[in-house]
Amino acid sequence: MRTDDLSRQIVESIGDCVKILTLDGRIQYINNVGLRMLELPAAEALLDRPLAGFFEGDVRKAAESAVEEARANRHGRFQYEMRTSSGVVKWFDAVVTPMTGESGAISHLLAISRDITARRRDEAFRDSQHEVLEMIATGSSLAAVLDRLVLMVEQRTDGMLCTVLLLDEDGTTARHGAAPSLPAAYMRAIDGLPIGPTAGSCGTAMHFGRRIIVTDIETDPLWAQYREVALGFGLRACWSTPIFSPQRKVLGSFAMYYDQPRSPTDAEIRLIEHGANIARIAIEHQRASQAVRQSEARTQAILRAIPDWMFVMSADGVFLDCHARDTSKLVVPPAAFLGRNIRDVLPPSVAEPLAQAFMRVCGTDNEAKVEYTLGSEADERIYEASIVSCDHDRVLSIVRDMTDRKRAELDADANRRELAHLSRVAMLGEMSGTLAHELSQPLAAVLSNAQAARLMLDHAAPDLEQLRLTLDDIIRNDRRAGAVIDRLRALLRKGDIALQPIDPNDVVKDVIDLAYGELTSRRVAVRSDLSSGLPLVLGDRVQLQQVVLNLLLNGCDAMNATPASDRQLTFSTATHDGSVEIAVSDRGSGIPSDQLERVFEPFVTFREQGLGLGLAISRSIVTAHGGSIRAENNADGGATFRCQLPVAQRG
Amino acid sequence: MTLAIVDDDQDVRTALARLLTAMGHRVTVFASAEDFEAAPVVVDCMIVDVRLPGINGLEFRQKLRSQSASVPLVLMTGDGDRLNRDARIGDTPIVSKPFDDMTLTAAIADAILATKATAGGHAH
Repeated sequence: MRTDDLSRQIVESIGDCVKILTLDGRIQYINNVGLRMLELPAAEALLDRPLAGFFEGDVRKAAESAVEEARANRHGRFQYEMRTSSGVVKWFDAVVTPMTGESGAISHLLAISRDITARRRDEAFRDSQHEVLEMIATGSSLAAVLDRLVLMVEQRTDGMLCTVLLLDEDGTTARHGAAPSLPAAYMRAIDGLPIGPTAGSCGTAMHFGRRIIVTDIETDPLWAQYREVALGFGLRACWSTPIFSPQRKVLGSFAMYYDQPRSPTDAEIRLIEHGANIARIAIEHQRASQAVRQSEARTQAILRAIPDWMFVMSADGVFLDCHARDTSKLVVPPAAFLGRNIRDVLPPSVAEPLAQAFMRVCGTDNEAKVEYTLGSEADERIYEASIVSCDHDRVLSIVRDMTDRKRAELDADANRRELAHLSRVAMLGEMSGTLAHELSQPLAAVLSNAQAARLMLDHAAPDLEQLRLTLDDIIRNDRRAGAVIDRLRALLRKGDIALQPIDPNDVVKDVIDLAYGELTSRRVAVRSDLSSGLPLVLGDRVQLQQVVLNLLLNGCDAMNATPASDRQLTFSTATHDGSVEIAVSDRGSGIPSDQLERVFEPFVTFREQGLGLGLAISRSIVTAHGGSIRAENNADGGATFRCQLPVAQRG
Repeated sequence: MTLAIVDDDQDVRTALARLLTAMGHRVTVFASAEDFEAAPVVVDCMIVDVRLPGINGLEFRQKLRSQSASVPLVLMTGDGDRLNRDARIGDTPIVSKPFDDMTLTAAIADAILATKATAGGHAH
């Protein structure tokens, strides 16, 4: 019996429920720990009853087989759930082992049960947590995720109810988030209430951005406004913690309610923070995915709005994807080219330059532009592809139908040529007086010389040397008149633009020669300040002359009121930064500073004569040459017009 | 007759001088009114281009007329001076380039007569 006593002592000291069973599985003994676990005052009610008889169904079978195992000298094991006499459900893990008597044979069985309720809860909590996180990850609605989260936290602690409130974007109004276990009427009552320094636990927690523990709603001043409502639903304690974004912006609150006054344990504080943390993840995730959806919707809207076609191509030219608002406009339908190489889809003259551009651009920051034409001869269309790298091995080709624009450009070009011509005619018309003078001078010389020669011939001994000189002068002046006519004919010509390398100084000199009469009759002195060795510009001689002539006439007009001795027009040329500048400065009264740009608008004129188209046309000519023209006032009076033209590229 | 020609165009100046010399006149040429003023000569008639750099033909005429001696004057125009080709200014006939020897001779005679008439109309 000493052994037996010792055994009992050991058994009583074990923290688990220990039962000794007879070989047929009847309870013969239960230790005090076991009685406490089952919340029983004494062992009598259990004794001599079969262990398996306390269970039902599968658990009973498991218990029976565990007893059987032990009788066969092995370990039997089963788990069971049991409601204590106070009604709390507990989980146990039971091991049944054989006990060997002094004879060496199995005399009794030992059943040891361990309370695993806390462990089971931990496991259930972990499972729930995985479930909640999975819901977040798979894009469940925020309401569903928060409901599940609240149930998960509630399951962790007995008798506790949770809520999640969300703070509106305006930062002042609390909205219902989740409260699956609290009465709906209570949640309706607090939905939409403003947060503040005394707005219950949650409203106050969101207002101050810190945890608020109210141990007794009945007495706490924070609940003054909502006390009746809460007490009406049997709520007595409420602990709330704010939910923060990573930027410490309050997103909402996570709260625990109890039906009796109490303060939280450390574990409960940890739990409430844990709940708030998961709620933050859920809210953040929902907002992020909302932002992604909005961004996606925007992208889709942009794609719908873009008339261009977009092709995603592999670097070696295979069509991977395509976007077109109206696929019927595509020369080849998507089904016929997706997955195929561009060389097998488009004619070589088009496919080859595109394929080369794909290779060139892929993996770089560069953009390539390729212009090409497709379609039948009757309906040939012009396209421009802008090609950029989009992945390390893919390119995006954005294709635009340029046909209409190209045609419009050609039309505009023709219109501009026509207008420039009319303007030249008008300008020469204004100068007709002095231009006639240009012709009448040599003609007068020719006539006088011819008549002088005839008179010389009437002499008995004509001076043949004088006659030869006279005839030479006639020939020279006839040629001089011819040159004037040639210049006029060139300016009046209505031809296509003929781009050729031109020395800007020649343009200026030609115009000064042409307008010599005009300048003299207007008493305008000319100063030329032309740089030598200027690079050539690529341009149309006549049109550039027109620009300079227009600036010359404008300059003369600007000085109509200037004393004759002060009327000076300075022509200068210079080169810098890949362009050549031709500048014309007058000594007039200048241009009002707010009009410096306006003078280039059509029909804006400060001149008495002319339509006011000269500068507008000059600008369009210069712009068509890739240059620019602007006006500025001189520090010492008058205005300067500066015309910049790009230097012709060699080769 | 002694004549002075003022014209900035050397070709015109030379040709006109050649013609008038062949017609038997003595001719002095000037490229501008300023040149004439720098070295004035007394002549029977001056033939002056309207369009001149510096002092132009019309201003030159005014200057000459403001002086006591009234020299006969013919103005030449290249039709670029917006003057009526048939017009005359007071006692000064205007010829339009190109003109022939008859026209010029008539204008010179006209100028001399007109100047005499004007002078005669005064106290002389």
